[in-house]
Amino acid sequence: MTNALLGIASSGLMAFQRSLATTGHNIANVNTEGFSRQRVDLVEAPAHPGATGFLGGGVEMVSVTRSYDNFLDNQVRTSTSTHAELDSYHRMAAQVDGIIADQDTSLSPSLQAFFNSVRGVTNDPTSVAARRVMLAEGEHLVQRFNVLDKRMDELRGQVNQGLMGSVDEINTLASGIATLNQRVVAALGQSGGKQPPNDLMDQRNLLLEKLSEQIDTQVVAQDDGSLNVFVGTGQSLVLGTNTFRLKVQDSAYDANSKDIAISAGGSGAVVITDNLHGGEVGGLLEFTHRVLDPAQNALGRIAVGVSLQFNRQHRLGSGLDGQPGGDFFAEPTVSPTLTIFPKSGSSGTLTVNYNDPTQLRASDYRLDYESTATPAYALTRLSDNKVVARNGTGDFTGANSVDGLDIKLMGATSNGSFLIQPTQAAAGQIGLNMTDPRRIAAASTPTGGPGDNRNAGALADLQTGLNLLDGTATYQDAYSEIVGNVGALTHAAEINSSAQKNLLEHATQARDSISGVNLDEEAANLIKFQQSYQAAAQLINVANSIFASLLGAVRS
Amino acid sequence: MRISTSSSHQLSVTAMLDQQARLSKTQRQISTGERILTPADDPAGAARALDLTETLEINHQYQSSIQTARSRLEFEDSVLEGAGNVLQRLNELAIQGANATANASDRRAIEQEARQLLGTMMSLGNEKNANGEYLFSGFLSHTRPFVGDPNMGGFNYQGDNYQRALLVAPNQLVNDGDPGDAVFVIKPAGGGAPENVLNLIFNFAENMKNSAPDQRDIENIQLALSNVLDVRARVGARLNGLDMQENLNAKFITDTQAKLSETRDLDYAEAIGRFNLQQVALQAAQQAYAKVQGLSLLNYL
Repeated sequence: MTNALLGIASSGLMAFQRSLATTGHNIANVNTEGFSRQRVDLVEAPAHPGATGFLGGGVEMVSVTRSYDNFLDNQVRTSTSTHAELDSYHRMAAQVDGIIADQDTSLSPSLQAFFNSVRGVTNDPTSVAARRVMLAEGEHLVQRFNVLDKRMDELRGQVNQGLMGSVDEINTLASGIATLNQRVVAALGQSGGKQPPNDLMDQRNLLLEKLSEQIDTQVVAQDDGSLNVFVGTGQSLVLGTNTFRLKVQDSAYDANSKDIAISAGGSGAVVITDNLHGGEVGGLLEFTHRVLDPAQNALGRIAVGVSLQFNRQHRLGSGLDGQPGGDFFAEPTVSPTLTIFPKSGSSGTLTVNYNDPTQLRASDYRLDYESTATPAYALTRLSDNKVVARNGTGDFTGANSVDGLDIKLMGATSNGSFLIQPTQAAAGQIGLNMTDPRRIAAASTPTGGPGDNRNAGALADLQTGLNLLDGTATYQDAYSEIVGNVGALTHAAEINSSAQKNLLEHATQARDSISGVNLDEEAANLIKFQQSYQAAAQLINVANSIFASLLGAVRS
Repeated sequence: MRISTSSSHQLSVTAMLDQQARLSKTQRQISTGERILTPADDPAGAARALDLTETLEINHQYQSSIQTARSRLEFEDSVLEGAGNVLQRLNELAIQGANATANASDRRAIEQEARQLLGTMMSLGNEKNANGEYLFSGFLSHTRPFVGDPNMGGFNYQGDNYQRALLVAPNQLVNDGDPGDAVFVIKPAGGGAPENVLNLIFNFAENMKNSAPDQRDIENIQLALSNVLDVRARVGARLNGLDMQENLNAKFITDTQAKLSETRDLDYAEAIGRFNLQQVALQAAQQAYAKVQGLSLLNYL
């Protein structure tokens, strides 16, 4: 009897001591990232059967478990990944947004100042001072183009840096998860799968959450307690204790542009850039694809339009002393062709030149060898992924020119593929060709005389001419379109990012309502378990005292 | 719902950071006076503001072209006025010289004055504007339009027959001068090839020298006078046109500026109201944080 009572008392003491310790553990980890509050699971100890019925045997500790909801944790991870994507996308887009409309970097003021100066020469064709102003404003305009282009290149560099940083982080996290998988499996094994290693599992969940900040993942739990992690469209990143490393490598076409590849066990690396979504990586890729490339291409298109069309008109005129007009701007053309990137292994010579700047699209293109059947070559416009032309000879020139471009491939073998970037670098390549103010071709004929301002008038009129976007936009309109587009994308990113931030907050709150530590609750538990402990201790006192009574009865 | 201690912290801090971000944006708007800080604030508005700014710049170009054209035309007008006066005086002299009562010595005196006037006429025809361009040589504005000797004759027009045009409104060009051959070359009396007015004056002087008055001299001088008056009337009409266009442009500029201001500028009353509200909201968030975080059961243990 007394034995049983002591046993019950000590089971209670043990249980409440453990409960107090667990409460203390919860309090100590109130600020620990990834921590899920724990509790001691108690059950009644098996009763002793007796003639008068089952007599309770005290309390028994089954396990220490964490308050954790897999569904809510998944939701937090998904929200984290989407939020990180939108956040990095927005952060980068806001930089372009800031550059293109800033008074010190925007194209608009210098475009206007330049054409004002051309009008100045029209009004005063004999004034060398007015011509000098035009040269200075031309130089200024060219610098603005160059500076804007450089800033965009810097952003591209930032994207590449960011991708490398993220990929390093992803690899580190993946190894961490694989290591924890191993330890979790081992720990579970020790207890025959009964006692979960809570702290290891918390740590692993934290790594998964950090991973989802970098990239969208799918997590699949295995029976042995390990977690498999997949990225993209099902490429394995972690399988049990094995990891597959991601790496950033030069694109097959262009060393300046980067691809992300995953090692696929022996068969080399597979490029998965286009399959990756979510997280910092998804945000950076999306930014490049949706904001940076279109904006830089569209800016380059204006540079091409201004320089080619201005030069074409300028060449028709004559300088102050009857000199032939020549080129005012240095045109953004890399002789003998525009920027092209053959895929490694492609043979043949591709030349690309501007045909009609009015028709240019702000897009990159890819020329692929399709098949031995004619037409063998397909030209794909990458902005809308549309095959815009097919030709058996790879000759898209003259009447066959596409989107204002002359494209000619000669001596190519099969399996060739070329990336064409007609305008991306153009804003960085435009220059000023003219240095002598007297050579500015204000006159329309060599014998026109110094007072002839007809060609200058035609040059100044280019400002209001619908010279771009298939004859629907002036240079300024085309720039305003960039500003409007980037502004709208940034605005949408801002709204989406803050909406996603709210969703993430909700998800985190929902998870924390299960897993988070509440100090008031722990304080209440502290009191509860303290009282229970004291009561159990009192039980020993009672057992002691009744045993003493019994002994006293025997003694006397 | 159960609230975890750290998420209650986090929520309060996030709320304060959000309020601060809003307050700081309003502050930047107030200090710059601009509603649109970056295009993302109002993409359509930002693009429209750029287009409106360009429209303004182009209209300022028109206004400056108008000023240039006006100063040139006003100068031409004063030169033409001088030429008109000279021809008026020559007309009087020609009538005097043709009078039967005039004798040879009278005509010698007339010849002297006519040669003086011929010199004046030539220097009027060779006037230069502030840029050093000849007024009456067309595009060949660095070529002296009229050369010749008042005593020898043989005047030739060296310029061309082009007129420079300046753009003063969309698709509206205004000539900022007239070529010399339109002002100083006329079809002489009785038909024949166009003749330089200076030569006609020279002929008149020669006729006076020889005391052989010719009725055609009077007709020619009157034709020259009426041509100059004609050109002057056209210059006057152009000047009037410029004034009207300048007013139209100015009205358009004012309207565009109003639109631009509407698009881009900050409504201060609204912004300051918003600023105060956001300030109150931030203070409230701070006070709520301090109060809520002070509550803890542990205080009572």
